[in-house]
Amino acid sequence: MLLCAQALPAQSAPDRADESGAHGGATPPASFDFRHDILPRLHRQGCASAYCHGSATGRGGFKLSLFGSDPDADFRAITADLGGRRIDLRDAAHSLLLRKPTLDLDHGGGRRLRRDDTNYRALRGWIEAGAPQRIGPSRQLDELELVERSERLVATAHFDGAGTARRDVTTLCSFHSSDERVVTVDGDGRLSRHGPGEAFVFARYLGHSARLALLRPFAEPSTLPQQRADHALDAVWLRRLRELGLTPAPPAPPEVLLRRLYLDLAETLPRPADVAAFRANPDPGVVADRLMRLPSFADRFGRLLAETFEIPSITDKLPGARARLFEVQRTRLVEALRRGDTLHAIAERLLTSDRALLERHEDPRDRAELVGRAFLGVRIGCARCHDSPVDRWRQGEHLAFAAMFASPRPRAGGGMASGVLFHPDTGTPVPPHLLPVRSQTAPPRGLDHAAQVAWFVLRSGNRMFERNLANRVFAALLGRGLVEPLDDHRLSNPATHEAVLAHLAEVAAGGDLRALVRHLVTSALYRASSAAGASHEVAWFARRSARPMPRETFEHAVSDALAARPPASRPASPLATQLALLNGPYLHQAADRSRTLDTVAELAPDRASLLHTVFALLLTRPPAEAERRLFLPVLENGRQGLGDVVFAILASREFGSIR
Amino acid sequence: MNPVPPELATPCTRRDLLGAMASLPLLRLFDHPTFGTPARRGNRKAWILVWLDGGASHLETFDCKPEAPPDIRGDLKSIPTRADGVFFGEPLGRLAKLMDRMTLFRSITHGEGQHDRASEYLLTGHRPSPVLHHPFLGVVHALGRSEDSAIPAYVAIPDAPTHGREGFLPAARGPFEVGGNPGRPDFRVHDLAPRQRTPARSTLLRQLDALDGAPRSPSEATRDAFLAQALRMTLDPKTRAVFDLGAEADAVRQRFGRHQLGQSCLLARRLVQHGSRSVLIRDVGWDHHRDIKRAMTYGFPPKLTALDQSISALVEDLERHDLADDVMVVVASEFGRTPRLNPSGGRDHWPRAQSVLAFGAGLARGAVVGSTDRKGEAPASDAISPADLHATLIAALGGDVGQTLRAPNGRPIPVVEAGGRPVRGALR
Repeated sequence: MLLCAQALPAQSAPDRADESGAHGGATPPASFDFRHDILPRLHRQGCASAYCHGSATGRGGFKLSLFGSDPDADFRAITADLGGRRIDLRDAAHSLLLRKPTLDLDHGGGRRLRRDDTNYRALRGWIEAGAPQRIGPSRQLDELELVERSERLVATAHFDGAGTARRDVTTLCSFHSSDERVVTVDGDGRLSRHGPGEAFVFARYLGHSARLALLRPFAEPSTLPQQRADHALDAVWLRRLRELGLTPAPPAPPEVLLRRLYLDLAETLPRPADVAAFRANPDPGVVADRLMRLPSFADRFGRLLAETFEIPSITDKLPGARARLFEVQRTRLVEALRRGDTLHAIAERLLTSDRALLERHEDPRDRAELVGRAFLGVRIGCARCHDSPVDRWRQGEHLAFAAMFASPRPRAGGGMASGVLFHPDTGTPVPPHLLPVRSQTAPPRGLDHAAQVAWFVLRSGNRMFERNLANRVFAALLGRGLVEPLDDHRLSNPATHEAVLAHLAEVAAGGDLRALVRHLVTSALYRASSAAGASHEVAWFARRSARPMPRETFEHAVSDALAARPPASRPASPLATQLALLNGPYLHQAADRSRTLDTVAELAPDRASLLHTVFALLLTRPPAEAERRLFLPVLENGRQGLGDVVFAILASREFGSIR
Repeated sequence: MNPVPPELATPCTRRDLLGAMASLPLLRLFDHPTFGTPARRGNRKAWILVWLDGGASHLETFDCKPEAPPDIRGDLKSIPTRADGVFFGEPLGRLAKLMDRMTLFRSITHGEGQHDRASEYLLTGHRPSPVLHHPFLGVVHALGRSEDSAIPAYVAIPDAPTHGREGFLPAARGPFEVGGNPGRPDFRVHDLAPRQRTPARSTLLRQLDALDGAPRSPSEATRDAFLAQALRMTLDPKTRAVFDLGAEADAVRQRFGRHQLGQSCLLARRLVQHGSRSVLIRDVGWDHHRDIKRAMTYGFPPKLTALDQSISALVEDLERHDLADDVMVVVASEFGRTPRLNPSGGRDHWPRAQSVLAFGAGLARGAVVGSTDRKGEAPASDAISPADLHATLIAALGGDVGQTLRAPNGRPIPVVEAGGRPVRGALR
């Protein structure tokens, strides 16, 4: 279905025409639009990026809107500004628009076009045709479709409702690959495959993006042994690993797994009796249920929620009264988890009745962006200044959503009226609107703005909140999120395993944090070993990776095992942290003054059993032969020798890691 | 009783440990995937930023207006300098005499009137953005260090301001903060001196770590590198001595001034001599909303006197050590101050005009760049944005103005904000 005739540069088959050098015919085109046919050619050359003419002030007096958000202004900038001197209608090749990027004239951005290039010919053909803005009806781009045909990407634009009008826009798109080690795309959409793995290729055209997953397995899936899954999460995970040609790592040994569970769920170390019980009944669900009843579970996950919702902590050094206010909010989170409140109930309070968090910011736009990051896991902040090039949010949508957060004002005659956000450019009130996300249910009537936001986040069925929370909990337990950065869920930043994230989001839909944690820690995905393996296995979560304990976990584990006092201060940098461990009072005192160790030393019949007890207490395993040879002589120095051994263990890589 | 091999029978001596440590891995900055284009290798240039926290008045320091009416020029007298038409505040006599060797920017201008936002702009060279916090220029420059050194590449004395940090780069690139006042006789870097049991215990620790056969994850490798650096800093007396001002002759310490700023400058010189690439000295108390003359000339020591003594000592000291071509000194703050005195005799925030005094490396000696109008309100010639200033400083440090860093989302971020260009007149 051809909509454009051959004279103008950008029709569905025009590039073949262009390649043969056919431009500038006399036939008037049936349909042409500067926005659809010319502007994308400039975008492909990077002309409208933030570092060139798309910058807020333009470049060299020539300003294009960033990523083509304002095509009419761009048309004016090219055809009318500077007295229309950017194009020369009598001698197209003499146009500034063509002479500068070909370096015929000085160009700050260097060479962007060559005369034998299709884009050059297209631009020239457009100018020769009189540089029209539009011929035929104005069309609305609805959808961009991307498929792969024999190692070449084909992008199709659908206009005016799917199926009515479409056009191949492959040569008008900008392409990029999410992982160039796997696949690269050239300007014409030709693919070059490299190493194994999965990568997404993206096409961008007129502010629309489309993506396509391209996968080359690490090993032929049919050669891999069948894995049986008796856990719903593992079924999804294993299917995905098989697709990728990866074999899951075997489960971690029981004592490693138990230590992982204790540190992850309650920030404590398992005792020898716990290890024996777990060996007798190696069911992580039973252990998780017990740990999740401990107050330290609520402490640990209360902290996680506080980080997720960006509730400031004392270390953020806010002024006194406000710092206390947020401490109260943090404490309430922990109490709510102890009571067993749902995640949705907790979030609802923060969005409606307990609004100190939101009102920390004066500007409604800051509040809207906080809700985006903290509750929905999306960064709408880019759209404050420009339509986002990598995400779906438009500037107007950002502002309308921000208007939902304007502070209420007193109403004449009593009561409060909803607040109003005035447009920063025009000064007119902005009609408030929720973000344009497809929801499963209709908003109830008669809600105030805060309640509408809470409905949108928690009950509209868009699952953004649940995906965000599931990803956060996954990251807390596995060391890395399925989506990273954690607050950056978007089409162009896909999850490592979308199916796993979608599955966990469904589990999180009930809002029961303990059920979600239990579901995760009872899976083979969580239980996988972190023993030696290839780095791509870790990247795809086929194998676990050891990670240093969070600082709070470390302190809680030391305090719990040795009845030691927490350190007086926490240094900021990683180097200062190591210096503080080596020379600060904290670890030395924990090793030298622990009453627990005094008792252990008194009760031990000999040095070998003392060492055994210390290793069981701190590392959840017996000492190896080399370790016995290293430490037994040191223990001859009485209590100080014991302090030396315990210090070395506490400061070691192994103690400080969750493996 | 188990038989024990003799080398394990007693905790190692410190000498053994130092020998073993020579083989420890240090952070390989270039192996980090943060860099789009690697910073230039082998560039040994360093710089010291003296950050006048709060916004130092340009009209009392480096851009005095002796001809202006009293409510503009203020109560502080001014003196001529070795540069034509440039007047400094009266207590800055020594700096005035050095003006033929230093570089003065008088026409820095921007639009950020709040401390926090203006500090972010001046320290990072990028306008504050709600989506991305850029790293401090000192962090970016320190990334270029390729040689193995136990001295941290970027040190803050006593600590770094909020925006003097790593921004979107990994926390490992952040400052090492010495955490104390070098002007005090009992000054010690926090947790640097080993405790009595540290040498023996850290030997055991290294041996235990060496027995750990588990594969090291990248985050564990980072921990190992910092532990190795901490051990070298704390156990190697030569490295530790870099932080010890007692190693300097009394006359030298006296010349810098026995106060926080002076001794901080001396410590900064010792650090850049021994491997630091960037040192930030944070001098607080320049937010003079009331009685500005008194605030700048009273106290122990008076602010301007301390500034004059410390910076002039640092410049002369660098020249004496033949470091002037390798080490740059920059004296800057977040904005200038209102040209008209307010009713309390102070000056308020004024981002439209401010001065930056600099010296050394690739900067032109004795250059005065730009000027402000008669009242010191706005640039009269050669307006310089913070981005231009950064481009100039990067060029003077032998860096690549076109370098890009990679933000966490993979976006390439130019080190110099769009539009920033080196000020040619300020470069040699």
